[in-house]
Amino acid sequence: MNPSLSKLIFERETNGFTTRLLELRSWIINEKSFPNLDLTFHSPERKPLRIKLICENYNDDPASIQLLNEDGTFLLKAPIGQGVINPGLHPVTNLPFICSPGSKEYHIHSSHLNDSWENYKGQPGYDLGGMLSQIYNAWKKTVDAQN
Amino acid sequence: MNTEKKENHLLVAVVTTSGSWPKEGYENIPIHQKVKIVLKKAVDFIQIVSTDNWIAKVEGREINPENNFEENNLSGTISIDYGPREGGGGK
Repeated sequence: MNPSLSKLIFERETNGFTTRLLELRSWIINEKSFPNLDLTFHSPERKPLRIKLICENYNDDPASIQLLNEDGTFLLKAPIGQGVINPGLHPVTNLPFICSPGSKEYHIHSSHLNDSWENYKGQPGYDLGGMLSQIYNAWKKTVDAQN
Repeated sequence: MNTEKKENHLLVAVVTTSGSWPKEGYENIPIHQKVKIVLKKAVDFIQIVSTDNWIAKVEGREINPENNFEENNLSGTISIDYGPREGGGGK
């Protein structure tokens, strides 16, 4: 995909991230500069969760989504719960991952190689804001993993 | 910006990752108004194409759009967090 078009889609899908949204959800943006969208979810009940979306070639390809500790290091144990946060280790990255058709990691997982991103691209809930909302809503139902 | 609440009304904002309704401040809404009516106004204003499988939450609590604000035990000044459910997996 033309990088300029990819950047345009990235900006269109993130320009609704208003101060009001960030305050309501206790999100802090660490970086919002194409192709990276890096933010941290905060909640008084649990450890912060940092999410980094790498949107190279978006949206011909889905975003690669990294689960991070607050300091930016890879999360080795994901919080436990339901929804898109998979605490199991991904066969390629060997890290917990986002098990959703909106993530690159889903499509390179051996269980989903036949489920094309084309089935989801442009569908409601699979844009960048939709993916972050899914992850956030899943995270709110988790408990922290024990170290 | 609307901050004066009328009698039997509450002040409402709907917040999504695509924008907010209203853009600033809050709207005066009758407490007997169904939540889904307000969500529809917000979706039209923000120009969201589809809200299939979305949930509405206030202070972390999921509310029922089919009920009115009073039936959802909502009053005062509220911001509705509206977005896709947690999802999971795929086909």
